[in-house]
Amino acid sequence: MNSKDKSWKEISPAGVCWKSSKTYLTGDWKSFTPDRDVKKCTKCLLCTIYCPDAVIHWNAEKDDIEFDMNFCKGCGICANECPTKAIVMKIA
Amino acid sequence: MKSVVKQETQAVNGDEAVALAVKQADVDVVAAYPITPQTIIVEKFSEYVSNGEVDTEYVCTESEHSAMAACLAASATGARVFTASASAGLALMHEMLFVTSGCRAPVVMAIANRALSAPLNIHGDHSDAMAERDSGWIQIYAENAQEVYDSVIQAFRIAEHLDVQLPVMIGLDGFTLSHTLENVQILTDDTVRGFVKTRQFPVVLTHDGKTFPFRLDPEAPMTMGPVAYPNYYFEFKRQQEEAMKNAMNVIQQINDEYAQLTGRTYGDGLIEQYRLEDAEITVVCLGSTAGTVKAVIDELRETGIKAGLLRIRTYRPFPAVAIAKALGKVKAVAVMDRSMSFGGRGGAVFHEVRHALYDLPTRPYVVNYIYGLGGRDTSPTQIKRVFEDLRKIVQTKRVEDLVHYLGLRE
Amino acid sequence: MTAFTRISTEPIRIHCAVYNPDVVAVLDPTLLKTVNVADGLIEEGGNIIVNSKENPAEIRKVLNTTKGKVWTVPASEISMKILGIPITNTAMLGAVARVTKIVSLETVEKMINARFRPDVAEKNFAVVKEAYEGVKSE
Repeated sequence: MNSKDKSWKEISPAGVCWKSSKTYLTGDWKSFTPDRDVKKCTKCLLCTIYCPDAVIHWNAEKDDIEFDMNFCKGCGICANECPTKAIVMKIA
Repeated sequence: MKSVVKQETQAVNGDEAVALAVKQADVDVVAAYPITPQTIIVEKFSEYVSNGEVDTEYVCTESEHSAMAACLAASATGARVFTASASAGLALMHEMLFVTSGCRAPVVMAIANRALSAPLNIHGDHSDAMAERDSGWIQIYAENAQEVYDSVIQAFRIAEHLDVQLPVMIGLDGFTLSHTLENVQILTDDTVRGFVKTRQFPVVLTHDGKTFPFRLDPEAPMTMGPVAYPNYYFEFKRQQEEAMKNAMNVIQQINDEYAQLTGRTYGDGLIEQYRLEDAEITVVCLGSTAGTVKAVIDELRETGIKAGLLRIRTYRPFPAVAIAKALGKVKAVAVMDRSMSFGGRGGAVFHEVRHALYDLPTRPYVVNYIYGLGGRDTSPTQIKRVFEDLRKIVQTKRVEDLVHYLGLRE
Repeated sequence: MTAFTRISTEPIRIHCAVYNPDVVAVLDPTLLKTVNVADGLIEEGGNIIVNSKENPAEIRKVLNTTKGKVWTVPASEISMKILGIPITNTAMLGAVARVTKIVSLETVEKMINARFRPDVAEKNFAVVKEAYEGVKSE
């Protein structure tokens, strides 16, 4: 029990969070991490659609995708869906 | 006394009275599924929608569980929401009842109280709502169609009150009230609009130190009802209990405000006391049977018997203090339960009334009568027998059996 | 299938079945064979109104009681003739109004006009009137 935990009088009703989910980093949950071979990647963007945590984004300036490893939990769905097998899961 | 507003008498049954109240209360969304004996509510209301008499989004869901899910979601966005159910339908939405109260959504629901299967029975009893007494919903039980109409209107104010923010269910006995024509004084549309007002929202702390009105809005994002780990879940539940405590006062205030407007009051909003001031023997009950009990009491009083009635109108929050105060000087109490708690040594209302009286310096005898299950009729003769049993208890100073079954064929 | 009505100028608080009726209206005469329709009828001054072409005397033979006054009205025939459907509610309403005199024919007409649209109301009141005038006692 964390002594910093608030009393019932201080919290918002219905479990409304007083912190943004962006402050709750889940990246260190992963046992496996996605490793992308840029040469095989065709930038089809299927991985950006399938990622359940929406951690893969298209960066227009870089003309490439980016992984936000602060929130990647290593589920491996991107590797599973990649049509060219550009993404491979490695030990984190 | 200040004059009351203009009202018009209409002959309607309980279900129609509900539909009328909802029509006048400027409800934004109704998501419902039909089930006897509530069908007239949803049918009548859908007529109003179809005729353009209301500006309500009407959603026909595939089940009651979905109906409550839709109601919760709509309410969370800030809409004023209503639905209705009964019996198995209420049971089907059981899970969602807890989610709705946990999300502090002020949904108003009419329940045409009906027995639970098996065996299948479409007639009135309280087992459906009693099974949901722990769900965090406010529960109000009406005695007649007039009270049904008045209570549905009041429910929106109670639910949406800034200190409450809890869903409310209004119970009307299946068939006895839902399908029986009674004279009801109907207020004008303007009067009802003026009473229910527009929904207000408490301001809550969301992330990054921002405070927003408590409703879902893309401009002011927040999450309602997310995961809460063991270190926090308990605190959220305590908040709900505080809201229930506040509801106790709010229900009385709304009852008084409504009485000023219409000339009609229901006790103090929590309990109604009938000839209880000097009563020696008393019946405690909920719903329409109270009316029959009042008629019996008047007859008994003619013969000098000091009988009285305590009708519990608001069952959740349970008005324990008011009940203890009202029954303090009574010698024997028969609590009538229109539902069973199998294996529980009596019904739910019996347990809670006995609990309320436990701390009194002198306690009355308290016994239980299970009655009216599955629409079984409760006659004045049977109620006279209850009072007769109470008289015997007072005379002999002995309780033979704690739990009785009124009218059961042994 | 039994239904109950209480009519009073005072507020009615009782919410239970009627055990000692003043009036019994029987819409389905086939019930006379299987149900004791006069069960609980008040000792003096009661009325039993039956939807039937027969004379009240014939109906009395079938009833298991000497209490009350028996009336008959051919409600099914009247509704078939005027409405074209064997729904006997309004015909029986006319008969009950005549027998009990609780409401006047004028009031019934007013209520029917308030309840139904004009063409339907007209037919229903015609049914009520014929039953009101045609119900006969033993």
